[in-house]
Amino acid sequence: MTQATSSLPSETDANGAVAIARRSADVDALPDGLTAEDLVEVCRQMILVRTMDERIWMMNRQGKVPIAASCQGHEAAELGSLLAAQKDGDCFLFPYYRDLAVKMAAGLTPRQVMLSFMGKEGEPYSGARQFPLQGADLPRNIIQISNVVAAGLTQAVGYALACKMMGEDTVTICYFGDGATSQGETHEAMNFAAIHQLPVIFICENNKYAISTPQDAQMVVIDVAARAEGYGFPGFVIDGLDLVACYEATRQGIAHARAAGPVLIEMKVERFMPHTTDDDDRRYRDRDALDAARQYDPVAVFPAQMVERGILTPEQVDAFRADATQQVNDATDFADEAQPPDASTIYDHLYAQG
Amino acid sequence: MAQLIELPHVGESVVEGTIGKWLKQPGDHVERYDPLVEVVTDKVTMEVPSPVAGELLRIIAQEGETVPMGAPIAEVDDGSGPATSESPAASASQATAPTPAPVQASPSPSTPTSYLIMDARPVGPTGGSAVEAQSQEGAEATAELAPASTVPPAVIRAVDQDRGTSVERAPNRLSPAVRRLAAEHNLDVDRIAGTGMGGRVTRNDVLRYLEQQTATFATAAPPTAPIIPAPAPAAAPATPAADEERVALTPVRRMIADAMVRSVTQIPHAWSMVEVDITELVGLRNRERDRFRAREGVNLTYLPFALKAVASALKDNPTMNASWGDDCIILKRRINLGIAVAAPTGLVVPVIHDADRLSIAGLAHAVADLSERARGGTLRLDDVQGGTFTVNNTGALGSVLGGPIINYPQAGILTTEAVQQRPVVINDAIAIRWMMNLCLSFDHRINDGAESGAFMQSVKARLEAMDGDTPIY
Repeated sequence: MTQATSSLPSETDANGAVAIARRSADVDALPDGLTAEDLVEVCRQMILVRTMDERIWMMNRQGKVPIAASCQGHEAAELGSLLAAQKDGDCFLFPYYRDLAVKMAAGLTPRQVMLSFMGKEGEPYSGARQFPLQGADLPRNIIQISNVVAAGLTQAVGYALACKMMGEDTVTICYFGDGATSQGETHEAMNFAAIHQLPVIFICENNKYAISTPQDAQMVVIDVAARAEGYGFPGFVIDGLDLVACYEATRQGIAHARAAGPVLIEMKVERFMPHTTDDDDRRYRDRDALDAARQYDPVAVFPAQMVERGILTPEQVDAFRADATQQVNDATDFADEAQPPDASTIYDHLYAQG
Repeated sequence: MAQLIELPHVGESVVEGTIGKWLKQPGDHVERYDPLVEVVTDKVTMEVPSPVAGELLRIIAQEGETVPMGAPIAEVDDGSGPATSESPAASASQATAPTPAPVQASPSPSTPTSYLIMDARPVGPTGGSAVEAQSQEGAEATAELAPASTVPPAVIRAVDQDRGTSVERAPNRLSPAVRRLAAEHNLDVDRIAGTGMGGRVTRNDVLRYLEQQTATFATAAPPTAPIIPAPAPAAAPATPAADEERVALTPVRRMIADAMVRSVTQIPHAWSMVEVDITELVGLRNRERDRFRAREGVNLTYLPFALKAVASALKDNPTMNASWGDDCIILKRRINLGIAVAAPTGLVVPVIHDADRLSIAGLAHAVADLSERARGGTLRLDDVQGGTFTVNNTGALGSVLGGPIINYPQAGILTTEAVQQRPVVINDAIAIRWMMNLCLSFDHRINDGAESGAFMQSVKARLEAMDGDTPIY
């Protein structure tokens, strides 16, 4: 597996990593397979996800959500890559715990999300027995999330191996953070995937912090993607705040994985919130740098670009916001009034029936 | 209608929060989800959004105050009808001392913000009690120990799926460590008052009970009542007897109680006292008192002299300015002296940071400022944090002897007792001298008698050396 076989347009950056599509193309040049309607829908989703994410945080501060990991700043990466997977139609997803946008774009409703975070009856994945959003959603090709950092990589590679052995065309997409790349499992998974030329895409949502550990204390390279070369498959650095770029990279990544084996796509994102609701990032993050990063906030930038491109009017964007608030209000009240799971059901789903 | 806003239960294992800053003031309109107040917990500093829209009527928990989760912090009129304000005191007692897991808890949220913990019920294999975990032998021993009357009426029946039989479980949730400890000693955990969250019995509760039990057996009297005063409604009968009255706990009272229990249960206190001859110091203070008052606007009491002596003595005895770190002793570089102040709401201990850098006049000003603000309820969060050693001027109340409880997790606390004239033998003659007792409680894990004695001698020597030549500035 070498760079030459890659179908991706390549250019080598100063760090040795191969990069594609930094900042998306101009207005008229939409990538393959993407329509203006797709962009309108994903813009609506993005606003809804952010509104939801903010509300989840608030409900933690009101004592109703025990814990949450915010995806604020990761929306473009998650929605863009998922859009490519959905367009392809034969991808299997291994998300990680910061992937609220993946789950919502895959079809989880605001009410289901709130039930999950508040741990109420009707929680769609596990009947409120697990951490929020962590259960499997097999009809939507989403596997159970393991909260253990980097555990998903070896599992995803195993799934990809199974697909290959069974002669299926499915491409496995595995999401993880930059912190996961410091775990030994990441090496095992990537090396194994390379040896067996498995149809898997490693998407690193690099927000530059492993909880409180900054990237320069985790690795000496600037780009996680640079490591792909050492395994013998291509690695790409993408602006993870640019939805269209993330879509395009994933689309091409899927084609490559299916044809020629693993790809590592590093999406450079921002983490606008602390690691989780139990973390206080004021102790380790420079507020000025964080404020400066907010000017690239995809949830502000992408709708503005849509207006600029004439795909949406400002009124339509406002209507998306109003609709998102309304949906999230409804979901909050709905979940708030829902009951906790009935204790008598505690043994349900523990043993095979029959 | 007036709605009580409670400090929400946020974060695992977080049990209290300190009010940082009110972002809205009484009279302000608040929208639902508007940031209402900044709260500092062990884990995070956070903005708590308002759970309702309306007008902020009043603030119950002041800035700098630390209150348990579930305690009322403010009242908001949601405009939904006539104000039928629930008594905050009643609500506070309800929120701060939840009953142990109810037998058939209603699954609906009992209060707007607290159901995460209020509804915690002992379910499933991990929720069993000591009764369940004990060996057959242990269970028999327990039955012998426990008179029937002490078995709580509230017992949950759960079906044991393996045996298809019904087993009885007390409604008290225990950690595996506590279950094991109880089983090892054949204890009926229901007889032990819990001090943990929601009245849970902790490891320390069991250890203390065992200690007490040993003492009781030594006098051949079987234990008949829980040793520790239970956190009120949690263990006490629901209705008071005719000849007693129940006073609901304020959040501050609860906090003080918890702090005291934590200190005496975790720190092995040792105690000593020295007598100090401060005749010369009394002369100095009498000479300077009026002039100081006129010039500085604050009283010159004996406390700043004592603080000066303590701060200097701590510099020479760093293990008294320290705390216990389980596998190490943590020495504190800064000397931040806490001073105990009786505020209207209860005891508060504001801190004079870097007390060793202040003159006696500077200390007098710091004491006056902190005491005044403590009594007025205007202490800032910084004012009560970071103390490394505490001084309590119990002499102001006429006390001549005290056994103070250490301000956890410090290494010691010192009281300055009343200044009195007493007959003292000097050079085989009886003299009348101004005397003051100093009492010290110290953490015996960190220091032994030798170190604490050296510290006390150092304080004593410094006070006795203070005379007419001692600089006040």
